[in-house]
Amino acid sequence: MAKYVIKRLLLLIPILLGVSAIIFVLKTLTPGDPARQILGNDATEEQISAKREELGLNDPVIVQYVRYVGNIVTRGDFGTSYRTNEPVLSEIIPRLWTSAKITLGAVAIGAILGILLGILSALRKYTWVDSLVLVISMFFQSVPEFVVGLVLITVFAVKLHILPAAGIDTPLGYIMPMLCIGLSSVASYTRITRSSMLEVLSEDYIRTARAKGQTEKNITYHHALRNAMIPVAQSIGTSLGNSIGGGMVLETVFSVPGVGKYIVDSINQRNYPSVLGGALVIAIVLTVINLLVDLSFILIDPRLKSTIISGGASKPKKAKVAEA
Amino acid sequence: MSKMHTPAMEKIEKKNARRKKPLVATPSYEAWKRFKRNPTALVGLVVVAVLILIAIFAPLIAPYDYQVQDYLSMMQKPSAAHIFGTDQFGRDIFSRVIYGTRYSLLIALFCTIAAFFSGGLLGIIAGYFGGRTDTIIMRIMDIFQAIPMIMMAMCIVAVLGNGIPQLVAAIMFASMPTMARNNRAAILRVRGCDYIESSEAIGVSQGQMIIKHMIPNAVGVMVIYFVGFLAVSIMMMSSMSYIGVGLSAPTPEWGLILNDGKAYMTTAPYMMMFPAMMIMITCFAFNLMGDGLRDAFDPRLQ
Repeated sequence: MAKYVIKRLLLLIPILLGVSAIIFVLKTLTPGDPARQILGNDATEEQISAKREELGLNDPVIVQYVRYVGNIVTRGDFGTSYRTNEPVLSEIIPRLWTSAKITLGAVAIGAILGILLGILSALRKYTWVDSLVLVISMFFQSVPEFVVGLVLITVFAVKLHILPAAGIDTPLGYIMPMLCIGLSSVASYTRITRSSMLEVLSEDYIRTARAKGQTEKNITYHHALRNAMIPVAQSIGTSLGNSIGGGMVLETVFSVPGVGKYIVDSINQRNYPSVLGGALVIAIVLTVINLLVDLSFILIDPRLKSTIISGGASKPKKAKVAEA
Repeated sequence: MSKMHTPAMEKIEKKNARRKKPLVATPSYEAWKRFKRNPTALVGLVVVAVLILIAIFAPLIAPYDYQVQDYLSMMQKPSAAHIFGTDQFGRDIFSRVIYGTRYSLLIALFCTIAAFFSGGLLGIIAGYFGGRTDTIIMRIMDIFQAIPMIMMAMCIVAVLGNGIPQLVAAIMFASMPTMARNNRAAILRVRGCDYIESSEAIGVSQGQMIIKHMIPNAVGVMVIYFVGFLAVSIMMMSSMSYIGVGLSAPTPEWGLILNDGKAYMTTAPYMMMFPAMMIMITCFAFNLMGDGLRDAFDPRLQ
């Protein structure tokens, strides 16, 4: 077990090196001189070249890259924002918390709605209720989140004036972003719940329960639902990790000061230390959350231990082909 | 689906040609039969067909040029002359939305084709050759996947600048890992089949194997990804141009039209309503169709 955790964490190293390398390459390819950008148009040539020297921009890319990685490893220093001159990490942490709050709310909304609808559709399978639920939830999945966001803003902020159109100055500001992300994930929870419920309901022990004379209600909510929830809970875990960094567009639409908006702004301002820092933090958060989710499932359902651990990093080659 | 040409088979084929419906049910024919029975999938197909017609005949449908600015009729509400109203430059929103269909669908198609030729090809290579090739390709894809798709696309646009080819390249790179993974899985599923082993045993060359035996059998799954990715690229493209990255005015792309209307959201909500509706309808239709295709090609997944 401990070996497995260490292995998973070690796997983070090549991923982080790779991610930073990709963004580093993109950074060097991007036109424009960061030194000129920091100093503005009034700066003299000498000032600019002094700044370039100070930022280490005159060194070969590979030297810059090694220095960057070295700073992270030795001092936990993710660089300094070109724009504010603040350490990138201290700018990201509070924003990460904002994004995390929205993600938690969104996942809760999506999961609760999705599970309820999924149960409904499984119990009324192949009826119009089933089709209607699937079509509606799919609608929200297929429409871009920002369009749903715009519709919500028009209705609740512009017409009804009950929610703020942008910003999170009041707790009410969280509602619409959460709702947007939540609604877009309802469909996947509905689907997983439905198919998992249908599968469980056809198991032998359900038939046994029926034969014993259990009520349908008891069978559905007591016998079936508990076992059917395992794949649902797993997908909740994965989407927690994914949506923290995935809210770029939506955070921009609602002007939420989260990591996503921070990265979008930094890309637009060519503020590459912030882009790099943001990307790395997201990759770390994602990997750690996924690991925690996997570990918690081993605790919840010990039967999953072998599948999770063998599905990890060091699976044998044969197993890979069989898995597909 | 490859046909054998023995005299007996030819006889059956001739018979089939007369019968309208083939006697030997090919997988695609079976899939089409299942697809036809699925009402939501058919609705998706019809809407997509209408959208394609709109895109082709855009100049005939649109009453005005999409970029002509008419300062005498700025910011007009929907009326008989301008059924979707006009924007802050007096451009007819209906015409822009209609031409937008052409741009959005075409760009999405380019993105999807590009994604298949990059990520898809990598996935096919990884899946077919397996072993070390597979490990190297997929580990690189793992790294790419750690960067959120839209962030990757935005960074690439920052390098290349705005424009249609640049946007296509950005979405192509950003989608590479997902594409590779999906296509690899599709090939792996076929790879394990007995007939591949027997073709190997009778000495079919590797190129022949991939092109003649594996891709045709994996095509069902790939079609599903293809249609699904059309929707994904429309979503990405419009999201990006809405926040001001990727395309620049006066391209009548739906996300950009929304971006134009952003400033007038409170005073002229109709400016955003129609392009937003088009995005919704299009993405929804592609997804309904893709879903129907998935059920049709792989009934086990239902």
